[in-house]
Amino acid sequence: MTTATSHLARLSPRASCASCWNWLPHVHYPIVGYCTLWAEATFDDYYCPGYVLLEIKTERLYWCSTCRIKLTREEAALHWSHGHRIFRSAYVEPDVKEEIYEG
Amino acid sequence: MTDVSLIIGGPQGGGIESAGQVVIRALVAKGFNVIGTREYHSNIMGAHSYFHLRFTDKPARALRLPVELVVALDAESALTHVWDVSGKGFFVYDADSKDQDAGRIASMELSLKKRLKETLGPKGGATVGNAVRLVEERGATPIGLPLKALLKKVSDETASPLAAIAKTINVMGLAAGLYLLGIEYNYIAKGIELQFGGRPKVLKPNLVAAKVAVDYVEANYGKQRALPDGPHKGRRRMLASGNDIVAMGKVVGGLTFQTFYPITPSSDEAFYVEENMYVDVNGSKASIVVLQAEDELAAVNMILGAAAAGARASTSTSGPGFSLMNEAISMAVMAEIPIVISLWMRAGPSTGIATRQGQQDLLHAIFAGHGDTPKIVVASGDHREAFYDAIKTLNWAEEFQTPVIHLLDKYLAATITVLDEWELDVSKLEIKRGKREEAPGNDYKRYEITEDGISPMAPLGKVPMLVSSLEHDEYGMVTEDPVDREEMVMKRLRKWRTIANSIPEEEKLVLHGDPDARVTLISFGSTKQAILSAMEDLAASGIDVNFLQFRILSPFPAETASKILERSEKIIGVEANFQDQLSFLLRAHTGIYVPYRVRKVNARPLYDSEVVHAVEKIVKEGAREVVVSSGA
Repeated sequence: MTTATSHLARLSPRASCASCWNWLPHVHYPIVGYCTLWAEATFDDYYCPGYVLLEIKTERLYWCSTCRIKLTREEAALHWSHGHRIFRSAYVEPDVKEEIYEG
Repeated sequence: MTDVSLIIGGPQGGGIESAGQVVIRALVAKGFNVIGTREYHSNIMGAHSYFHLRFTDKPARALRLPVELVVALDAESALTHVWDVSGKGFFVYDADSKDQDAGRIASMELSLKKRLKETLGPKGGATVGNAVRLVEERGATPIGLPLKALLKKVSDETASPLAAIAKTINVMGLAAGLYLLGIEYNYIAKGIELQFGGRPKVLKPNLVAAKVAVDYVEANYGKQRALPDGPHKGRRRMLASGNDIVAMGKVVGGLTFQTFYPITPSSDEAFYVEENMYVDVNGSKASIVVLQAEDELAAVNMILGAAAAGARASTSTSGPGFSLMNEAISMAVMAEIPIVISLWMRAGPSTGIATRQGQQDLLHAIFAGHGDTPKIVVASGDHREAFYDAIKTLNWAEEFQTPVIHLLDKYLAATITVLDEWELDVSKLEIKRGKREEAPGNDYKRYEITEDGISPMAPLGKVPMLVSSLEHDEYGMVTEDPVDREEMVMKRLRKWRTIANSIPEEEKLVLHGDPDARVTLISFGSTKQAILSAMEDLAASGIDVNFLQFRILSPFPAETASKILERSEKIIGVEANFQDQLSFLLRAHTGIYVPYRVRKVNARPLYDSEVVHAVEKIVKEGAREVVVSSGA
């Protein structure tokens, strides 16, 4: 069976998972994340031929991993302009929710 | 002698709870006494949270600052705990986070950013790298873990999917930290196995991650120092949080009906009861009914109905929920219905800081309800007391047909400690249900006038009877007649006197330490642990103090307290509130004024080192009030 990692080459500084539309960073530890193309977790510096540069164009919600919040398109563009790391969404594994307490 | 404290910090939801649980299990496996608590934000996923632990071969009573080890799993943790590591300690941080600046961490409190800027600004800015320089200048040893590189190594060494490996960052941090303190890998692995043993897919990558981290530390920072095993190695022991222990007490204490509406820090108590709701009673299976109500009004009124019908009933809540229960408490007094409310205090007023520590609801508990509504109020100082108190409160509620408030707090709720089974001895446990009337006749008087003020109680449904919030005669019939009214008020007064006389004085307050000491600390609740721990250090520095712990605040043990305190030259109140609520009660009941105060009002636990510092300021320097402010 083909897995994501067999397609991946590490350490591509410009076009890595960290700037890919298909990639969702871990909500707390964004050095790893989940690739929606290959349905597998990867490190942020991986690269594959399915790379699609993330652009803040579509009217939708985005994820700011610097602030750990969801943003509208306009807000995401603003955060991006301040150097924040913007993604399509975040990867929240089930254990994260298990460790959150109610107020 | 081993006596070590440590902090593991990271983003809330990022495995900090699991890390703490692993560490506790590893340390218990090595034979130490352990106490550990979690600090977390109320509503921000990803905001900083941390586990603070202490392990020792002596009794582990209280937490201590500074600590010998800080493990910071992210930049926010490294910056938050820059002041907490001791001069001889280790500061473990993510080497890749050195350039991260406090100003860019959105979840960090603005005030903390300001404090960091003041401290680290002169070094070039509030970055992790400068924080590392600061701790190094103070004598601590910084250990930069290249977490990403180590994670890749774990990925290479295990066939597990990366999604599973990503969760091992916390374990890498704790394994590196424990190794530095002298905890061997086999104990770290034991802690991991005990925590994740039921989940093989999680267990394996965590074991590999721990080994990778330990190997990295050994290769780069030298061979591990030796740390002798603790005195309890090889013994089977029990871990429990304060929430767990109260729930255990209730379960073995004969609870049959528990309600709750979720609120920090009380919810876990009800969850534990629910998880253990099937009990063996004299060889046959029985079940405790646990209900999540739609709000606190429903939660308390449900137990009123259940208790009136014969159930042994309780609920649990914290300050805001208790506010909503006030009217029902009045009804419980008027209708003489036995209920228990576990009141887990937290930092108020109002929603306040929902997940943080406070002791601000003592007066609220004492005066809850309207129209002459005395009730029993019990404050537990530690896990052992909380267990037995949970049983006693159920007994007292039914013996005296009255509401009983079990006063606890967030620190106790979230604190995990290690216990031996013999410490929770239930062999002499007695379930007391008071005067019961199991076969009431047609002339049954629910509120029969008696000398001790307590009427035999039959459950609703046995015979027609009236139970309401209105004033009543002996049959429960509503009346406004002045003679009936006076008789019923005096009956309730006699009952209150019976309560005061029935509960032994030794249950109401405890004098710890030298009875002839010139300095007496007074307090209630979980501050007991920090005070007892501090007393050992104070004695070593030549300050002989004793500690009068108030266990039952209502009925107030005025006479005994007066006799003890009249021998003291200096009385110091230690409380986590600004109204000096215990001192207020003491003066109201005895006329004794408490002139010296130690306050902790920053919504963090009281540390033993703070008590030592404050008492020294009062005794040696003549300070009258000391506000202690440690804790991140």
